[in-house]
Amino acid sequence: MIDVGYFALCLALAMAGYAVFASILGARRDDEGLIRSGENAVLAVFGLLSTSVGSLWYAILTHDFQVEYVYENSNLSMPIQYVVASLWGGQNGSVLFWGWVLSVYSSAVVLFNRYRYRALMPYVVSGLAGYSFFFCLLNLFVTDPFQQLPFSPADGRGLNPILQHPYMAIHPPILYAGMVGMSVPFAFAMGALMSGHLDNSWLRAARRWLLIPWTFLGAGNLLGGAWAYLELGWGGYWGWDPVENAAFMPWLAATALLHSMMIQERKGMLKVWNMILVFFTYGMTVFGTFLTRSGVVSSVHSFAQSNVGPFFVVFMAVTALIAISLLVVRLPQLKSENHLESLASRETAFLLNNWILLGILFAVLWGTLFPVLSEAFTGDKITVGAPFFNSVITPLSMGLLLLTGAGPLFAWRRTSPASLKHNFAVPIAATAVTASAAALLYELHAYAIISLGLCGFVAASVGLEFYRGMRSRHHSTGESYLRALTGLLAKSKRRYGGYVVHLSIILLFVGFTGQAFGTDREMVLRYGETKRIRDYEVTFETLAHSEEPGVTISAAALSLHRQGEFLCTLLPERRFYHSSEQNTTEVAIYSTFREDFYLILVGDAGDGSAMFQIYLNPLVNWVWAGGILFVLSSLWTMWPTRRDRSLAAADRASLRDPALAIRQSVVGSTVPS
Amino acid sequence: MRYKFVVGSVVVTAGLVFLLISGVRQSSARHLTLDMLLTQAANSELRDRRIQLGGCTVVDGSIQWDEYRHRPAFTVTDGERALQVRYTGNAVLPDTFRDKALVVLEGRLTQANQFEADLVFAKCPSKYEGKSYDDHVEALNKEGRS
Repeated sequence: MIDVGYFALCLALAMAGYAVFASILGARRDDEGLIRSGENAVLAVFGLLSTSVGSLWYAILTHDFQVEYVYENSNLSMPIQYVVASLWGGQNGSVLFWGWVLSVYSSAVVLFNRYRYRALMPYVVSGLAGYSFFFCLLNLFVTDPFQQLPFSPADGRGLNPILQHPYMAIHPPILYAGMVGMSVPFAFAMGALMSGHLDNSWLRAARRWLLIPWTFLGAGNLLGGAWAYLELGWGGYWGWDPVENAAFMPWLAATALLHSMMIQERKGMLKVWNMILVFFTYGMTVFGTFLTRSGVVSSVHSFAQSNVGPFFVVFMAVTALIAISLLVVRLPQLKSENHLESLASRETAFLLNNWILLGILFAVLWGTLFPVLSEAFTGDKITVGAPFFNSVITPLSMGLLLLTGAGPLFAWRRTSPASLKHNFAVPIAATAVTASAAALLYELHAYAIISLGLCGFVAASVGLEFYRGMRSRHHSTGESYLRALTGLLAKSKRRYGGYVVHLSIILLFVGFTGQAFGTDREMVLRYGETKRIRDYEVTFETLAHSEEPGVTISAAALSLHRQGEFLCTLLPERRFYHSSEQNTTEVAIYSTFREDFYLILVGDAGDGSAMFQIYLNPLVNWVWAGGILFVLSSLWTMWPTRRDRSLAAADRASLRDPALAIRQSVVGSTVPS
Repeated sequence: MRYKFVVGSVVVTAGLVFLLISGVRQSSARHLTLDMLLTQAANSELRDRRIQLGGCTVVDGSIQWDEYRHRPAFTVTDGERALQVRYTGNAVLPDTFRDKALVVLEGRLTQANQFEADLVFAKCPSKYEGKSYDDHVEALNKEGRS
């Protein structure tokens, strides 16, 4: 079975190579047959890689430990869901899986655009197939998941117990879907540059295909944070580790791009800038992958040093060279159609938003690469830790929040002082209210007050936008305000869905702000003893040990009261896994929207006393709530509208005369939009 | 119009540079290997600096926990030289901290052969490392299965 997988991988490599060749040649010769053949080759790559992944999965599920990868990453005693997940649990399997995700994206692009973007498609296909080619090459020659051992071990080494967590099982595929998907907007940009069709149609395609991985990437990062919070037991969810940063940086670039794209669509400005941002977003995904898998930056949970580094360096250099030289060649065609007219305009707000997002990205990059850079320039390797990131990024993100709220209050082109005064009145009042409420509730933490005040500002500004939209619908159609609200959300998805995404960001920021004023304490308690921590009373009831197959569990029971009122019983655990000789900490959390009471059983002395670590983490739940709203609102925003569907139907209708559709060299839709 | 933007971008860039520089001042540590650290240990300037010690493993059997299994003393080695370490941090040590774990320590050198670490990172054991055939045989022998 495993040989089938290997063979399919070899064929996929050949097929991907053929797709590049056929598409480019087809476009050059204007040979529709060859172009279609290239597209079909991409579908074939998907079939072949599915076979390849399937055969590795089969080996994993049947515990074929002679396959080195299966031996390394699974064992007989693991629960089935983690056996399934070990397909992407290790370096070699994850690279194969990565390539497969890419083939899913590529095939989707081909299938959705059979009759759209015809002038761009051959180049889009060749770009995506080229990327697939690279991943097949990596899999065959560097990270071969099909390697076999000369003997068949009775059991495998298994997955580390701390990774056996539902969030950790789904976190990698979601993150990969985010990282890989950024290649699609990049391919469309390259398609526009190669074909010379530099109108806004590539941008529309790129925007839609950018939203998908952008959502995945955001969700993947948050899931990783949730896992760390629940499983690692250090009381936090984000540690600014290079691996986390590697997945955060492309998200920042993509966020900047999503915003500046709007300026190009509306005003025909920032064309070169958008190209650079597309390059940058994609580049960050490749660079991040390189960073975490090559051992350039030492991280506590990076992939071990492996020899994929040189492959990535060559790939990045070649891609950058092609992209930049194409951009230089096309520069004369990327002239701006408009100029900024006034500083008090929405364009300016968008531009500033881009600067700040890139500023944050640069700061993250700087901190991540500081050890490498300082060693190169001074000979001393200097590392910076979480305090660096927090102290640099907090003020920058305050600026970003301010712009998020202020942007919609400015009109396009220019805003008169009178309307500025009118627009800003309510949000500024809201800022004052939330800031003073924060000051009263949480005493004087300067950053917390500023941050929560700004959150109020953005919420009020978004609320104002909704109110105005609803009012104008109410006046023009006579709808009730509630119907007007659903009407806005359904009809103007991009605009009002986007505002809901902003609200989700506000929830996230409320949660992040909580990090500024948490407390932690360690305490030793004897059986039956009660201690106070702020207004909580915690009583150590008992501690029990139990033996289960392969694991020894020590569990403590504590009751938690606040001002005499019983809240809950907390059951923190320490487990010892015999096969991997490893301890794990199972934290117990009493969670409300006000704060989390986060309790860790450190250890017991065996004499009826035990040590506990307690974190009072304010507002953490807002992060999770914001994450859920982020995913839902992003999905809503990208979901096709009725108009999108009718356009697609019109495109399909041109199937009757596809040759016509192609001859017109229809970039974008066959129906003028 | 144009000069306003030039002024604006200069201000934004200057702010960013200021933040970056002051951020690095606030929290930076010198990354050293054990060999470098011990060679320079006589250098008194090193005592005042925050050090990140990389690339060591915990000596097998050297971990001495306190009664609540919280703040251990242990020895790290790079295979040739060894250093005594005391953990003084607040957070619970990561689950991956154990004998033979690859660790990165942050803290200060208090005496010539004594390191006080307030941050301990232990290599996350995601099985991302490609092991050679020899390691397999060794591992299997140890488990008595080969």
